[in-house]
Amino acid sequence: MQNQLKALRTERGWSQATLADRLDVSRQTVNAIETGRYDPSLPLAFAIAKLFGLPIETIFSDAPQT
Amino acid sequence: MRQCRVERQYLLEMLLSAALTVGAVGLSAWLMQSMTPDDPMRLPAALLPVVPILLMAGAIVRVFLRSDEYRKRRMLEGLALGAAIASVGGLIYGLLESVGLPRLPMAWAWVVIGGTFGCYVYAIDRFTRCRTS
Repeated sequence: MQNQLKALRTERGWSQATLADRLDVSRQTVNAIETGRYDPSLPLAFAIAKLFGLPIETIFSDAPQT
Repeated sequence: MRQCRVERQYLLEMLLSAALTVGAVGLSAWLMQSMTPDDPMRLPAALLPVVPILLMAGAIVRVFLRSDEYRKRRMLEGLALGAAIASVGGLIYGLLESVGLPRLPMAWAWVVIGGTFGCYVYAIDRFTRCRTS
């Protein structure tokens, strides 16, 4: 699965730690999602979409990670 | 940060219960030394370290429950890997025992599971810690 998490985070000038705090997850989780090593659960994906104010499909797509 | 908080709490709980376990083992050994083999209090004295050991188990369960989904998944992977290595290793060593290798106590399986789990979780942490951009 591909995602725009890193781009969205850097756009806002947030660090991984800041994003992790806002999502109430560990920084390792944010890092793993950004690098494509972990696909978040549906509740976490919805929390991410809500935080960025974007539809879930804008952030995540089913194209394989490049 | 969430995970740091969770890990600090775990470390504190684990250190406290480990210290209590060491104390309880010492107290249990001291009590049993002064008892006759048919003393009815021998059994409760022998089981004295069980209480702090349960506290240690509780600390492990709590760190698992407090962790987020990614960490939980990594912990389960570490446990599965440890169990797989311990069962395959145990099977192979069991065959080797039949050709004369010394008998090992079953407690070694826990050492292998715990060691593999610790190494796996530590390696995952190290791997993700470096990339902070």
